[in-house]
Amino acid sequence: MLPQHATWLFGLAMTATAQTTPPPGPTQRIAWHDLDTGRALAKANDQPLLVVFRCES
Amino acid sequence: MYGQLVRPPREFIAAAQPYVCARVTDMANVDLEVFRFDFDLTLAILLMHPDGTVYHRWGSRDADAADAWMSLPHLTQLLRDTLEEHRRYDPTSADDDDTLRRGHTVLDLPPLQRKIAKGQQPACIHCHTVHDTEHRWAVEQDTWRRDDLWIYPPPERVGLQLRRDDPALVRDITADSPAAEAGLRAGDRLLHIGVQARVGTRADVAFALHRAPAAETTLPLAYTRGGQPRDTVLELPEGWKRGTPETYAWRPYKWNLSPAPGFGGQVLDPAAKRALGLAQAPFALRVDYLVTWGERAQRGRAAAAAGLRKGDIVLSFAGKDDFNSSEHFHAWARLTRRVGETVTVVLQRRGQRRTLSYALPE
Repeated sequence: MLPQHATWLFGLAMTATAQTTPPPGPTQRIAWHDLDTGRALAKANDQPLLVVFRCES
Repeated sequence: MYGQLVRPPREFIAAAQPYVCARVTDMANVDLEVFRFDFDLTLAILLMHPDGTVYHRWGSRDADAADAWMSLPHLTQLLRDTLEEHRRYDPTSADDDDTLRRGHTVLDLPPLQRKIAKGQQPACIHCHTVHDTEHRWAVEQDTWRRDDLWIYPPPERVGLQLRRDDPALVRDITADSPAAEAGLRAGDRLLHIGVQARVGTRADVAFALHRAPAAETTLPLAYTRGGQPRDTVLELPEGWKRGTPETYAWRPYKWNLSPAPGFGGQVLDPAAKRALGLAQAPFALRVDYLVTWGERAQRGRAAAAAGLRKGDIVLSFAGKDDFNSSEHFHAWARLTRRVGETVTVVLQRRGQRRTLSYALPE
């Protein structure tokens, strides 16, 4: 049931590169983390968290 | 699709910059005491404080289309608006060390533990697997009730028709609905409903409805009209969460429900029906499988014992012949029939009509 969502949403979820630190310089992409790392980073920096759950079933 | 590299628009990237972004494609280790959303969806987004407080749930669909409620401009605006909520948020007083303590995961639930012990651990835990496992566990504990199947009721269930590009704004109110009785009107902006502190999305409203009891109840709701804040209460009667098989058909949750036909397959398209001389048949489902394996093998065996075979073309089931899809057929059977009920199936096999009957097992 994959083709249910707009293309950009797949791009949002699937082009993600798991990184622990954002790339240097102006960011043109979103830096994605795994859930535990992201939550810990958000807590350490008092930032809000955006979590994407994408299921392919 | 997987290999496609698509960059989100610049505005979205800019709106997402203040956030720490995380993605989850496997629910195995997700804390189910924090991360709650409609697990039937194939995509959902939570905007939250790292202490576990969810500001907004984004990701919603209706019976007609999976992406009809997925508006990128709305999500972008929601990201901007939620920053202000984050600034105003008063963090939990819980001990810092406890903030990130992981609660139970789906792997901790006994039904999945038993599968794993038998060497049946799935390679990937899908979102709907959480629903499946929690449902199974609730049934085993005798805490599951029939009305619990009506998960995440859509706002329309209480008469709230929301705008797709700005779902906190009421587009219309269904006549004689709880929302109408509560005095709500088109143009009202929802602020708060039930457990949802701030409404920003359709999924926020569905979450509040989901958390409300299925029995007769009241649900507080705050809104603005002409900029002025107002309060009201939704009076929800017994059974208010119940919908129809048509609107439920898309949900994977339906596969958990009993009774079931014990077989399934492909609904024939018009050309395939014509080729079989069934051009006028409203419904024609080719039996591709009978569920004669696994924990529910009794279902397929009952159908097989009655004479059903792979390749049969089912034309009606329990007297109904106007299913609009295979999913509708399965949802209807599960939502409207009862265990032990005898159903009659009309089918065609090698050009001949046949009728068979069997009692639907658990």
